[in-house]
This record gives sequence, C-alpha cells and structure tokens, in this order.
Amino acid sequence: MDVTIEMADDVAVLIPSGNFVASETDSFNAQIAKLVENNIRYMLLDMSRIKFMDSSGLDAIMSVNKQVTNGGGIFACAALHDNVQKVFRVTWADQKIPIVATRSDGLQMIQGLRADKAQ
Amino acid sequence: MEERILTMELEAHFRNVDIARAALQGISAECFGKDTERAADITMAVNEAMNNAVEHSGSTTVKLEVAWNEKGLRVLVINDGPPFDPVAAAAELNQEDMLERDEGGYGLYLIRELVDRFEYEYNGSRNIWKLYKMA
Repeated sequence: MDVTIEMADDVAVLIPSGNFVASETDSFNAQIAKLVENNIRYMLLDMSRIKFMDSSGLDAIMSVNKQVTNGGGIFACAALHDNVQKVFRVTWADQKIPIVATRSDGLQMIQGLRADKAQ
Repeated sequence: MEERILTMELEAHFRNVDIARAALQGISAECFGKDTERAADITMAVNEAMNNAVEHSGSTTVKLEVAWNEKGLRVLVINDGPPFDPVAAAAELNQEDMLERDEGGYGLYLIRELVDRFEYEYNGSRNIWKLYKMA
C-alpha cells in the first residue's frame, strides 16, 4: 500500500491509496511504526484515495489511534468515501475516532484540540 | 433473469480474497444496478467472511459459490476447518461490545449488520456460511 506522508507543521498527514484491506495492512502498519518511533504525536489520516476498506483496515486505524492517543497525541480521519464511512458508522468506530469532512477541517481540529490541551 | 452461478475455489490467502472481491463487485453491480449501497454491503460482508476463513479457519482453501438473479444474491463461503458457528458468535455481539473494543472482532458484526440473512451449516466436514442480500 502506498502511503504518502506530508508534514503540516508538526502534524503528519497520511494519505494512503488503494484498497485498505487485509492484504495491505502490514505495509501500512510498518510505515506508521516509523512515524511513532520518530515521536510524531499528531496524525491526520486523509482517506480521500481509499475506495474500499474492510475490518482489517479498520483494525489498523484503531491501532494507530491507540498508539497516538496513548502517547498523548491526537489522531483523526478525514475525507471518507461513503462506503468507508459506513464501516465506521456500523461498527461504532466513529464514536471513538474523530472524523471530519476534509483535510483542512482535520488540521484545524487537531490544532484546536492542541490549544485546548495546552490551556 | 434466470439464476446465474459463479463458483471459485481459492488458496487461503488474503491476495486471493482481493481477486474474489473484484469478481463479486462486478456481480453485485449487475445484480443491484444503481443501488450501489446494497451492492457494497454484500461485497463487504463476503469479503469479511473470506477474511475470516483465511485468518481463522485453518483451512487451506476457501470456496465461494455465488448465485444471483433479479431477486437478489446468495453467497456461500465454504471452508474445511473445524466447526465454527459465526451466526451464533455474531448474535452475541452488541453495540456496547463494539464501543468497548479497541481492535479486532469487527468482521462478524459487519456481516450481521450488512446482509439481509446470515445462516450457517456444518455439513460434510465443511463450514458453510450463507449470506443473502435481496434486490
């Protein structure tokens, strides 16, 4: 799985492409592990290039969320296609991970939460 | 439309699930036409059933039998692992379980929620998962 990583200040914007499924999650997890090792604490997953995601993909996302938030960071997902959003909704994962409409919304939300934490 | 049938037998490997899913996307698009949500639902549910067979059944192969007509689509996902009743397991899951869990276990819940009917049979030393989606 190709994951483009762009930095927006100290927020890593992850942009995977293709199908987020069982055959691809090892590759995704390996790339995330490097970011965690490098103490990247703020991550935004831009899912605009993901057309299909199964429960293995969701597991991988839940794992990233756990790693980031356990380290005191913030994680969010943005730009979900309808069928990907449905996986989050049906499994109630949308109650555990912040989901926003666009990448810029996500960056704004993360900066807002950081500001709240700092106070 | 007369009932049409497609049968596939796959080596139990996630890459083969990808190929079977592509075939099923084509079939479900033909069966459900513009109702892309129903087509996506059954594709997702069958994908989860195949994933489960590859990851948990211990079976070396997974067989897929797809039958469809204008009334809907029926998919059998068959493995020859030890008996496991996914319908009973899925029935025990509820919203609270889903909200509490961090990782794992979403597949059966997705199947239960996305198909119109979910049945199981153990017959001839084979686990037969039966997934139905009506048009």
